[in-house]
Amino acid sequence: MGFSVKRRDFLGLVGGGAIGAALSPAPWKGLDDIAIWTQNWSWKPRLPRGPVEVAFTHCGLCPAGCGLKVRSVGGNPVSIHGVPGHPSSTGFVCALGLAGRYFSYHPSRIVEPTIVGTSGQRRGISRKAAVRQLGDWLDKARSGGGHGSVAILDNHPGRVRSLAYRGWLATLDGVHIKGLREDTPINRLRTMLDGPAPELGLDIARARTVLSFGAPVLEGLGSGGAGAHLRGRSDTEKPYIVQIETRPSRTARGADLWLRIAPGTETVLALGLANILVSEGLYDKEIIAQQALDLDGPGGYRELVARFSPKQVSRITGIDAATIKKVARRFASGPAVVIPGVDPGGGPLSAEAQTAAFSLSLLNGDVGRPGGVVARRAIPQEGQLADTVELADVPDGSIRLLIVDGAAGGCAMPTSLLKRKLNPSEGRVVSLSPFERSALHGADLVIPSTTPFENIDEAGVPIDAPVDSMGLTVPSMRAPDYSVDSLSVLSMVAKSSVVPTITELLRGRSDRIHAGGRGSVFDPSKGESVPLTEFQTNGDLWRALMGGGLWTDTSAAFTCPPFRLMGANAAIRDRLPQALEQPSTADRQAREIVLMPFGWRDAPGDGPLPPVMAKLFRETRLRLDSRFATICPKTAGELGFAQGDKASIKTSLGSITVEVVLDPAVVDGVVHVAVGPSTEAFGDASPGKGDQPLDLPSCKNDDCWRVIPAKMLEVVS
Amino acid sequence: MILTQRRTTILFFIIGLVVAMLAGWIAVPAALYESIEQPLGFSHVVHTSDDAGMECDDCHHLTSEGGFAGIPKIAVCVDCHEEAIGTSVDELKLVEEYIKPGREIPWLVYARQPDNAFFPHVRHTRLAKIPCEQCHGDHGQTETLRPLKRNRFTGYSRDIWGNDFSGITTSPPFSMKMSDCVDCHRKRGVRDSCLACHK
Ligand code: SF4
Repeated sequence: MGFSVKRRDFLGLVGGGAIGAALSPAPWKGLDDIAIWTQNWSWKPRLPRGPVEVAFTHCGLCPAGCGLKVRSVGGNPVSIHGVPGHPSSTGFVCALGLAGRYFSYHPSRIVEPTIVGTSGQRRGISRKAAVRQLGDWLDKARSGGGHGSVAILDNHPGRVRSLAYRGWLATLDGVHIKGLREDTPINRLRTMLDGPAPELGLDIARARTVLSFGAPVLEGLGSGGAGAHLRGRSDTEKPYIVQIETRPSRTARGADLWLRIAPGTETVLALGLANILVSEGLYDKEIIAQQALDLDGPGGYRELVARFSPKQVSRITGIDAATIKKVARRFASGPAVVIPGVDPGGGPLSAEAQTAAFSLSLLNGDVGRPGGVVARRAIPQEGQLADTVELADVPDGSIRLLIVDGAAGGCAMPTSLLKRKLNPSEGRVVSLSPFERSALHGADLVIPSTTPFENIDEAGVPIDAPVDSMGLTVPSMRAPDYSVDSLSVLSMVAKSSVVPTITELLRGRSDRIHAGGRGSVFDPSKGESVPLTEFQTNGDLWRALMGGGLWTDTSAAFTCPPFRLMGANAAIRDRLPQALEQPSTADRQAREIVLMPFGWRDAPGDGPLPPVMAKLFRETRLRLDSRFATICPKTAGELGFAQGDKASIKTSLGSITVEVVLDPAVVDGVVHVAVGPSTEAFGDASPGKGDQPLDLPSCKNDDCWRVIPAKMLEVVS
Repeated sequence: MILTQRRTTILFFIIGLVVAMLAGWIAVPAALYESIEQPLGFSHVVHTSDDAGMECDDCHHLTSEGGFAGIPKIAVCVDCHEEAIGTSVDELKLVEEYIKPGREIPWLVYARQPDNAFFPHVRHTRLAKIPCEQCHGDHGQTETLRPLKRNRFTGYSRDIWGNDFSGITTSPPFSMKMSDCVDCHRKRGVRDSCLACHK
């Protein structure tokens, strides 16, 4: 009898094998290994191994310049922490700074120079060709235009890099333009002082009252840690914060008093407060008698504010007269800081609102007194420097070549504003940004620069720092070959002038500080400061700064010079009384709304965001991005909108589509839309992807886009 | 006839079952892991003996930052082995190939976790008071260093899955898979969210 294998035997063998395999760990282990294997493909990037190092530096992602402790493995940063005891940031790091190391790998990183060709398409070119092109445009701009035909827009003015820009521009008869920053309004105060004024800072920590016109005081204004510090202080220690704002921002909700003001009526409120100070004699009579140049007489300040009675002011601002009186009396009870805030997305207040607000500081005798506006001592500079001007002061159509510095200034501004300043036929824009941004689509040439963690630079001096300081953004990672330092670009095109390197400039400032012998140096590894005099040589100070140290100056006595309460600018003075011509809140037409763009302090505009921020915006909606419009239910009801509806917001320049979010805390008649980020387009800044409300505003002559008349319409699908 | 046929089928079934089980329990583990010798022989016992008088944390200590210094660098070995002590092959190799040229010894780490896992030794040993042996076994009592068994597929050390291929370990050293971490965290009422270990 022969042995033959039947189909059934074969099935038996397979069945037995299957059950046998299932009774062994092999399949389960196999599944586990496959899962791991899929995460460990050989082509996946891997963290290099290597020595673990801890270094100290400063954050260069915004002008707050927080102290950072960076832990690296094999030369690659893997974690970032704050530095406890740091004199300005006090251990604070914001969400952006914490994830700052991701920026070097960001998908919107520009990896080669690009130029807009004749067809209008952007194409890549070599760095050599890009520099040659920049040189040609520079020659053309100089030969065809006069003073100011070449300009640099510096998003982080005040650094030694800015001095190098100004030195270079001086040889070209060019202008250095200050980008918008949260400390921009303080220059308005300087223009109100008669004669040369020093650098000014706000002494928030010692103030009795903070009068904030929409400034993000508790969200990290100035030195990032200050807001956290203020929130953590007991009521008896911290200043009384009055927040004047239409939006229920974090500061508004956390302030001691939130004045929900009608949109665009800050000038009226400031002059109304001045009315009470003057009429009740609550101002600093000695200083005003000695230094005020325009209090009395026809057309004087006294005459102006007399028209802003509490009743009138209440009618226009929507804030009741008793509260206005209460705030004025509180304000006059001690040193106070007034902050005509720059919103990171909504921009500055109008020039007259800033003037009216700072007139309160002058009335109260706060300029030059601790807890008010204090002066910072200057470190002497050498060489001839081009003037620094505000963008608003640049004549329209005057710039033939605009170079935009790649630093992050912390504030967004409408592209239309820049475009207006360019010569309509020959104006060229060269951007040195390391990242693709929708705002860059107007740039004719892009030469990618380094990110803040790759290059040495000077960290900022925050608005609330009462004294000057110097800290360095010491690089914690290697800059890729395709990026270049902005000063290297200038030195490549500079034919006759010599552009110093950033290290030479920083070293020079450090040496001058050492020669001055003032102040102290904070050592982040020990968490303590030592007097500068203990540093024997200038090399010792430089090493301390390179180790993440921070030099801080001593405070300077400053006597307030003569001043003009209505400012020196005749046009602004003339506009001040016109503030009373605004309609009262009761007269506001139903269906009439204003768009008030705003920005998140660490994520304004369309700049790159680290992936972890997606949690804040896209996944949890803890923060609303530019796809949402916040409006009060009453206004929404009048306009026929409900929660979650799609709406089209139209201004004279175009429209954006948003989702309606109802919030009873928003002031009636206002719709708030965040200026970025566009989380729909994370990492994608191609045209149309990053629809920003800032593409919409039509700026008034004073370059203010805070309040924009708009219509809100149903989206017809 | 039918009975015979059924017997044959059962026989095939049993053959399949046994072969698959043998493969699953013995052949697959043997084939899955490659065995890699350590670069140098090393006896923990000799070092911790009364003669040498060393303690575990002379070499495997926590840094002042709270991190774990892991395997010592030759800077530690050089204190005693600047010149060869004895004439063993390993001793001569240590001095000639590593100490004199200043080269670090490329030790193979049995407990290496993937890069995306954050494991602070200080919290586990000081705060949770978990003995080192729980994960690493009684390493301090070994005469030699066993070869590293590396998974050909994933590159992981066998110690992560656990020495027992079934994945069921009842006595130390316990396996160090993510599920083990999660189980232990849950048992002790410690946070077990993703971000606790994957920062
Ligand atoms: S506040 Fe500015 S400087 Fe500070 S961590 Fe954030 S981005 Fe960096």
